[in-house]
Amino acid sequence: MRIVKDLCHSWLSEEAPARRLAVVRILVGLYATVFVAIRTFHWLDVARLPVRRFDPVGVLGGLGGPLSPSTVAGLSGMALLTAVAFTLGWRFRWVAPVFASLLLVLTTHGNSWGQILHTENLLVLHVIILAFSPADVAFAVGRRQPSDDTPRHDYGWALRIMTLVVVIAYVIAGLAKLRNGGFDWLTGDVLRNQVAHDNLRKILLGDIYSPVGAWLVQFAWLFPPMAIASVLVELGAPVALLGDRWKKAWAGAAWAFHVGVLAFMAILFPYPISGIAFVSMLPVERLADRVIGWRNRAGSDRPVQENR
Amino acid sequence: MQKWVRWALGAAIVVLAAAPVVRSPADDSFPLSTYPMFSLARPQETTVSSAAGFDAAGTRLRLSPRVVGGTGEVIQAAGTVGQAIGAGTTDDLCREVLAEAPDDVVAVEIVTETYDVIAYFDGDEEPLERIVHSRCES
Repeated sequence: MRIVKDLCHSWLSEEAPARRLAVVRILVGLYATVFVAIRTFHWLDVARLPVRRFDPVGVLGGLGGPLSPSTVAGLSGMALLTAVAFTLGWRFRWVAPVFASLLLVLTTHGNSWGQILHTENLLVLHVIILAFSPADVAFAVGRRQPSDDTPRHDYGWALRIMTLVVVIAYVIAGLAKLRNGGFDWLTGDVLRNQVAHDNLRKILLGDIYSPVGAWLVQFAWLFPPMAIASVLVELGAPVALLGDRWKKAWAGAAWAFHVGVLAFMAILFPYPISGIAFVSMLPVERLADRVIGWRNRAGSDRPVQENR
Repeated sequence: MQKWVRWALGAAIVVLAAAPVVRSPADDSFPLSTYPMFSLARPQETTVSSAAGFDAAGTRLRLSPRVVGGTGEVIQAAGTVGQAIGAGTTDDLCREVLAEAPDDVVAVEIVTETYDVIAYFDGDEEPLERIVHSRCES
């Protein structure tokens, strides 16, 4: 029993201040609010597709038919309102699970039309984790700031689980490459062909492609080192569990990996590229300290008005 | 939240997130994914399925992802064409694409083309093989 307890304590949790968890809530919430506002147009587009294209996945796997456009519009509106409340921390214990459920349903419905995108998974999982955490103890509308900001497992466990989910996603992606492509993925022309194929598909389907990637496919020698680096970043993700320096180093490498994907294939993974996917690994409460510092300086610099 | 509840919740999420690793990469889902993107061992000669538009002179015109798949996502457009080929509904898709296409498009073909993808970007843009699944005209 003690071994299980120690394992849970060291692997499923870490100490963090309440303010860090709150800033993560605000950053993920801000991203999610903008995401819902923009993505609603896509969700409405797919809801208008012919019913025969509906191929439900995940929690909607048992759904007999797609949601109507008016239902999607209603759910999107509710998602937007609850996303704002989630970000502000307002009535978080009630609002956050509702927002997480709405986001799960809307993104799953959007991915239930014959093609699963992989740009939304981590956002949805992070919102679900935050929804069941005490992320409203600090910087929440309608609540007092805690007087004690000692790092505690009460606040750190959710951050640890968010990090673990990121690590697992990258490891699975790396393993998929080795399982599907074998070691040829690392040493051969698989990545080069992949970049060429993806850009050609974009051209044939009338989308924006990467001229950089299209030009670079002529240099075969470039691709094996890049393939090895890509798989190293993915399979090496568990180093982010080793400590603060490792977390920062891996988050930087993963971010660079996504910049490379964008440059070579014109594929944007906005959640990691924005850095929000990695905020659970970083001491982001310092952002709040800076904002408070600026606000205090601005307040003290304001000229005192004379009474007339 | 009690310590044990939090550990149980955390462990459940971690197990669920890791569970796709035992599935085939092709058995994808959402949000618990096998992340199969970019993992296929694509050869240099590879096939691309798409919808091609033609004007009255027979010149091929590019159709946007919105015209082909009904959304702005290129991967959705590719999935739509692949789904139609798999389900044998390319005639329906062809008519839907033609209805959404710009006025100068008088014919649409749902095609699977084989290219040497490296040679394509070296100037050799002709497909090695071309299969027309459906053709429809206005």
